[in-house]
Amino acid sequence: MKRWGMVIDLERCIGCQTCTMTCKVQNSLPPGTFWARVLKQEIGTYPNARMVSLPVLCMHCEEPPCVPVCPTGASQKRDDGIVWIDYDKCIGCRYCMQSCPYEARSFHAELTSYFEEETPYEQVTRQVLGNGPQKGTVSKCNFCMDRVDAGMNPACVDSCLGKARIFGDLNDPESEVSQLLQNREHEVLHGEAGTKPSVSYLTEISPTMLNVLLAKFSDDDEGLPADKPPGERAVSAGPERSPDPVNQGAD
Amino acid sequence: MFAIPKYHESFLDTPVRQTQWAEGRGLLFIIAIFLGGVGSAAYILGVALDLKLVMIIGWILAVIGKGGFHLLFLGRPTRVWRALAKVRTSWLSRGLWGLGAFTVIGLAYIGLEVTESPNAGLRQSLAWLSVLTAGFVMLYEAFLLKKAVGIPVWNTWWMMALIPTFSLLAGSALVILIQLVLIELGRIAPDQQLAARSTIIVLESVTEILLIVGALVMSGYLARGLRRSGAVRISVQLLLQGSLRAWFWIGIVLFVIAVPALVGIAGGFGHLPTGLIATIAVLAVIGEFAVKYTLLASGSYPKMYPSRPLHRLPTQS
Repeated sequence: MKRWGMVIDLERCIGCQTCTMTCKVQNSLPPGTFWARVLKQEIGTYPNARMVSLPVLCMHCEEPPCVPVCPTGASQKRDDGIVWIDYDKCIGCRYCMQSCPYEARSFHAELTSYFEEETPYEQVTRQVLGNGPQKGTVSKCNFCMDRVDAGMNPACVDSCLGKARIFGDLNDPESEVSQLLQNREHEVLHGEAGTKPSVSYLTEISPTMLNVLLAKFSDDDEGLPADKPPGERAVSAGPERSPDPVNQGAD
Repeated sequence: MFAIPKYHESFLDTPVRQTQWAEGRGLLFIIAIFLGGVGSAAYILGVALDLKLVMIIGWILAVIGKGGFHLLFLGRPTRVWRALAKVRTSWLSRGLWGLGAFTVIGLAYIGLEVTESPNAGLRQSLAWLSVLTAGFVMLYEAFLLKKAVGIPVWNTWWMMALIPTFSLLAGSALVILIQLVLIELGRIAPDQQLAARSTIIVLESVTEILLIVGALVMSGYLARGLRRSGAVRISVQLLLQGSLRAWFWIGIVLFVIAVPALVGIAGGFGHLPTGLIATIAVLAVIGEFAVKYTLLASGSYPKMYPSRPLHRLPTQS
C-alpha cells in the first residue's frame, strides 16, 4: 500500500511563493486562505544575517490528531495516507483546528472571492470537482488528491521553481523521497507531538550543491563547476536527484 | 506590554494565539460553555437542595443556552445531527450525546417534580440519572480541551479540576442569587423563608470550600505552565502579565476568589445586606465567564520552528 509523503529541500527553497499561488489557483481558495504557506524569518545578526523560508502545509500525519476529534467524520485519512476533509459532512465546529499543531487548517465563515462574481473556473473547481472549501466549513491541503489519483504530482510540487518539493511513496524504498530520507539529514516539525508527519525537511546541503557553491566562491575561476572534479571537501555523493518525470524536457 | 502576535509575524520563537474559539464568533463558543457550566451546576444543586425553580433555570441555561449558542457558533448548524457520528473517538460528539441525554432525563425529572408524581422510585432514579448527565455536561469540556493536541496549555489534567470547580462555584452563586430574588419578591412563603435563608447559608459554606479549592487548582495550573516552556509558558504569562491580565486579576482573582473570601473572613453572608450579597453572587458568575474566557483566549499554538535549527546559520566570511 502506498503512503504518500513529501520532502522539502530547504536549501533549494527560495521563498518565491509560487507554490502558494499555484495552490490557490488549483483549489480556488478565497482571499486570506493559504493551504501552502511559506513562512519567512530573518536569522542571524547583522552583518551575518539571512532570510530563510519555511514552506508549511498539512503534514498528512501518520497519526493525525485532527481525525479522531472530528465529531462528524468529515476529517478522514485515506489508506494511502492522505488526510482530507469531506466538506459535505463538516459542521464547522473547528475542533480539528485546535488539534492541529501545524495550524494547517482554515475556517471559512464566508466564502469570498477575489472577483465580484464567482468565476467559471471557480464554479468548476468548487462545484464540479468538489475541491475548495464550502461556506461554514474548515479546509486544508489534501495533497491535490485528484491529481495524485490521476498519476500526477500535487500542484505545488510541479510548480516549485527551485525543485525543492519532492513527492512520492514513502513505503517504496526505491522512490526518490525514500532515498532522500535515507541519505540526507532531515527533520520534521513538532515531532514531539507524536503525529508522525509525512512531510520532512532536508536540512543538510546536498553534496552536489555543496560542490557547486564551493566552485562558485573559490578563488580558482577556471571553467564552470561542471567541468571541474569535486573539491577537497566533497563528500561521498548520494543518489543524484532524478529528473522531474512530469516536466522532463519542458525546458 | 507583553502580548504575542495573533498571526504569523514570526515563526521562529513565537507561539501564535488561537482565535477560532476566542474571538469574533468564537465568543459564542465561550458563552456556550459558560452557560453549560453554570446551568448544569445550578441544576445539580437544585436537585440536591430540592429547589424546583433552580432546577428549571439550570436546565434552561444548560440546554437552551448552551445548545443555542453552540448552534449559533457552528459554521453549518443544520448539519449538527452529523456530530452524533463519532462518539467512539470525539469528545465533541460525546458531549452532544450527553447534552441530549440530560435534555431528556432532566426534563423528565423536572416534570415529575413539578407534578409531584407519587412514584418515588422513578423520581429517585431519574434524579440520579439527571445529576449524572448534568455532571457529564459540566465536565466533558475539560476532556475536550485536554485532547486538543494543537494547544499544549490545555493538555493537562488540571483541566479536570479547574472547569468543574469554578462551574460549581458559579452555580452555587447563581442559586444564592435566585433565592435572594425570590425572598425579595415575596415569592417564598413566610413560613419557608427561614428554610430559604438556611439554604443560602449552606451554599455559602459550599462556596467557601469551592473558592479555596479553586484558588489551589488555579495556582497549580499556573505553576505548571510557568515550569514549562514555549507556548504553555507564554499562555500562562498572557494571564498573569499579558493582554489578558485584567480578565485574570479582576475577573477571576478579585471577583471569584478574593471578594467571597473576604466576606467569609468577615463573618459570612448573614451579616451583609441582601443587595451586597446579590452583588457578590453576580460577580462570582461573571468571574466564571472570566475563567472560561481566559482559559480559551490564552490558548496558543506552539512555535513552528523546531529546537534544532533547520536552516544553516550565516557565518562570518
